[in-house]
Amino acid sequence: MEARVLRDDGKSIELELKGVPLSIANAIRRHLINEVPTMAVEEVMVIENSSSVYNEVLAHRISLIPFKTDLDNFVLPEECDCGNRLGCDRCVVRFSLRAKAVSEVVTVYSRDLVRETGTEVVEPVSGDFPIVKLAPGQAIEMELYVRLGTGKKHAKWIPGIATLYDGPDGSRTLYFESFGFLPPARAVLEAAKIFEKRTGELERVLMEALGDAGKEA
Amino acid sequence: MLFPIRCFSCGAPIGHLWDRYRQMVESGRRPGEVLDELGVKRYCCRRMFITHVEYIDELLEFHMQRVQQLRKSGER
Repeated sequence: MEARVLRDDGKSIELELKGVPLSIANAIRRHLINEVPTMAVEEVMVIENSSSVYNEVLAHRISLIPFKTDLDNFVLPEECDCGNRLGCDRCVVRFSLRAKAVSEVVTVYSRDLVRETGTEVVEPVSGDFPIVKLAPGQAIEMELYVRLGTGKKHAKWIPGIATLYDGPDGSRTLYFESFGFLPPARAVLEAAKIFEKRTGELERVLMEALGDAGKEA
Repeated sequence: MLFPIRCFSCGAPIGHLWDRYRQMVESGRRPGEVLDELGVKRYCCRRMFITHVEYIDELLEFHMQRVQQLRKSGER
């Protein structure tokens, strides 16, 4: 098997895979979409919302904002040993959002999110996402819990667009376009790591289940 | 109502480009050309911009008029 980077501009990456069976290449692609953890708002506590937008609509909009993901310092909530439903320093980053319009219409942007805990890496991928517009007298105040999650649980955590193309002489091109959570090269590597971990586990489980029957000639 | 954070079809984040798109189009430039410059290449994402109606501005107008009305009726 052979892999070569055709192009990597920090937003998307193109890899040429040679001698990689379709089943394996496709498994990597699907792991990229469904299994690589990324960070997004998972819980919202609304303290005040007198805006024209309902709580759930507002929470949904905020949850779709991608956050730069710190995979080295955080774990998935279901894999965290804190046992706390609200989470701990290793499985949650807390943000707050406070905005009020006094005399003019105010647009609230993702740059108005204030990080209360966690590492500096974790922040919205862009500060320019409009969240809501407030008329004079309207205000919002909320607390947001950013957590790691995977695309199989909710599409908001899908790290990017992953496609596979057939090339000449049995070669394939893996195209991955990152949504900004992770650098594309890192995301592809994480997908391969998770895939390897899983196949290792599968081998162990099969060996246990089959026992001596598997060793017979 | 408000411009969506993500493209409905492919899920790519697009909301952060809205203000720049609107400014550039309002300055008289062709929407297609502006989207090319912003790097919005897929047609699923492009239709999000071209077909959007910023409806919340009217809601806010309604809200402000209603507040004024309530204030007036309170004064009487």
